[in-house]
Amino acid sequence: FRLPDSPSTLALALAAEPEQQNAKQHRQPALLVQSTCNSTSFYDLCIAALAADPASSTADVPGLGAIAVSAAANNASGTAAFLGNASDAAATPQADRALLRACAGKYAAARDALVQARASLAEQAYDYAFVHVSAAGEYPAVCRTLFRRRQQQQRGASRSAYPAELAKREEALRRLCTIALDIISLLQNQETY
Amino acid sequence: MAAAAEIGGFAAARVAVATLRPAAHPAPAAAPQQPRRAVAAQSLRTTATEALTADLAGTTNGAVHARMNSKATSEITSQAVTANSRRKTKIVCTIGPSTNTREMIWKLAETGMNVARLNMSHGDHQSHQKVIDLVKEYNAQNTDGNVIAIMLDTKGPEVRSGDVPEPIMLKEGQEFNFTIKRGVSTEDTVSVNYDDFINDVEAGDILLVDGGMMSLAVKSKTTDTVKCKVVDGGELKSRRHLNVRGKSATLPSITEKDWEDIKFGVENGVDFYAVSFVKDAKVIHELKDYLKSANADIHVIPKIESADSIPNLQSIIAASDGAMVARGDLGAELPIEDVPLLQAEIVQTCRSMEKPVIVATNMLESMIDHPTPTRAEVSDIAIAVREGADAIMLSGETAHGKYPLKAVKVMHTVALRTESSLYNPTTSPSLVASAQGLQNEDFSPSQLSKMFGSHATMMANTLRTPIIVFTQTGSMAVLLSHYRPSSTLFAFTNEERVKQRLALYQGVIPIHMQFSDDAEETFSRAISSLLKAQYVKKGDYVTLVQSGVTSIWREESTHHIQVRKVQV
Repeated sequence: FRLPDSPSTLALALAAEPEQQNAKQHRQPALLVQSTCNSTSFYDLCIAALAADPASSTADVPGLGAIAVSAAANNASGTAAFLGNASDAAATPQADRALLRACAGKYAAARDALVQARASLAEQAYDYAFVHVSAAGEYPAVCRTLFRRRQQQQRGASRSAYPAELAKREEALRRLCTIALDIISLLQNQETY
Repeated sequence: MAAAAEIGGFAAARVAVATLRPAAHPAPAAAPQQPRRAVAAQSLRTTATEALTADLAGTTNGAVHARMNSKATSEITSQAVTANSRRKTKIVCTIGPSTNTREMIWKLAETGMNVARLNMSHGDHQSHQKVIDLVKEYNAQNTDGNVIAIMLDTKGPEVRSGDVPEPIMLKEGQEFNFTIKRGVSTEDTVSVNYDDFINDVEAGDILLVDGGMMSLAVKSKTTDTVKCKVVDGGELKSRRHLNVRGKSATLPSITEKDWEDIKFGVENGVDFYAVSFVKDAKVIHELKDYLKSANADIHVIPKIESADSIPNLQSIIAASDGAMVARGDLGAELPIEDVPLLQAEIVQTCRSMEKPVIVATNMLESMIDHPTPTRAEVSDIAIAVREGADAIMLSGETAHGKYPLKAVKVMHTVALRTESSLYNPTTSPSLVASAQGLQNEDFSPSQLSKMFGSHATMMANTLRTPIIVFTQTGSMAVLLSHYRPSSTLFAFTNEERVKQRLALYQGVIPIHMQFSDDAEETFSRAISSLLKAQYVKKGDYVTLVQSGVTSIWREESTHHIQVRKVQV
């Protein structure tokens, strides 16, 4: 079966309309946003993700960390909802519904972990935040494994390959989590103890 | 043969916790980084947790997802290959005259024994030495299989009479006898629980029952029996306290004999002490201080068996390495109808404190004489398993019963069957602690490990994959066991003593292996070991957990978690 397509990974990560995205890109990102994103593994995505939130122009580094975590949480929520809808869609074979619901559950768990991470950031408990964001980045692997194992048990053309759309969404969340982790690492290093 | 990361559209996702990544771009020189924190402690500022934003609330409904997840997990589970039908709840067997031969110890181990218990109230050091040597020989020969831990059970200061089916009325002036032969209960003779009782009393001594409720005068002795005359009569029930007037009133918590037995245990490197008649934490501290001074890495498990221990339950367990619910004596000291409630309370207290708990006494008592269990006994085992006990124990059934192997088999079968129903998420409440529930506790490195363990367990439970954990001290394996993952926990350790100790913990299969400096090589060796033992097969998935915490934990601690495919 096939899941609906969506735009590029960058746009998917941002979940923004093309027009809004173009408009935002005309604004010069704040210097702090630039220097913070320089410490991350995905500079362009980091700039775009942070710039999508107007508060980033006046935020400090912990504030930027919270914005990055929120971007990842929104992304995970979007995929959880997307999978929930797919499992309910009329065109979805009955045999695939349970698998999609299980995957929706894992992205929801990732979202929950990111909500926890933001709470930890608010309390300056950066190590807790790090654990939760790391876990959020790994929950999608559970989903991929469920698909792959199912594939091993099937034969012939009807096999449920891991959908390309899901692979794309997994990568998007992984990158957003990596950005959040890199910013949290910055915060850990800045502590004065 | 080398296991490798899964090859597919994406390399296996790998996330390192608390490890600084190299920046994609050099950090600006204008923002020099502060030196890293070198201490673990940090005070949390108290602030309100940020509420869920409208965006998140609008896109999800927790209850819906919870229900969806539960149902979906159940359906996915039914499709998953059940790779692990291994029993999780451990079985402790008391070794005695029925089982203290090489042949029987091997058979007990193959039937399901995980811990061999030596009851120091009976036998002498020579007979116990023989058992210890046999268990060590078994472990040395079975490096890839089941490992048997050794638990030494001290006698304690109390002497008790044996079990009687009905109270015996003792009348003033009648003759009545106490024997060290086991399992005796007749109109004029009952057993005592201590072989040296025969040497501790003399003709002319006055025996007090329950501190003087009844008293008997010792008239004479044979090689195994003390013959008495009743001075003050009454009703003799099971497991009454016996002491000799003027001789035992000031007995210390650990008697001279106990110290001899403890030293015997240290000399032989046993894994656990089960300490009798612990009334408060003081005796635990005393024993632990001694073990520390002797440089002995032995864990202390108090037996919760007296009325005095219940008010001090929290402090006793906090000071200890676990606990044993010794229901026979609990039922003798407290109303028998309270015993199930006390068992649940003790198990729950241990679970909340992350200490292992053993449920003991009378679990298959009828099988001492009969080859099949009663239905009540089967239910009793199932209840202990469902409560989440780490281990269940056989006493007389394997020490001197007629059907020791059948008893172990019954215990194994009932526990396994109960567990299979327990880990179906739609029919049993989840045993997994939520990561959110851990948020409000004090900040500490162990707290970090708890969050990590919770996430790892949640992932493994969805996939029904075994968890592979690498641990030097055993602490991460213990933590993961605490979360009661649905599948097996393979704990690889480079310390033999840690391997032996982990034999007691629910769901853990300990395996000894040398670690490589290279994480991938270590993982490859572990997979090879599991493939060789046929614990996993090619194409299976595992959840891999690697953690380490050292004194400067921020610098050294790492937590890795990956879902990986077994490749050859």
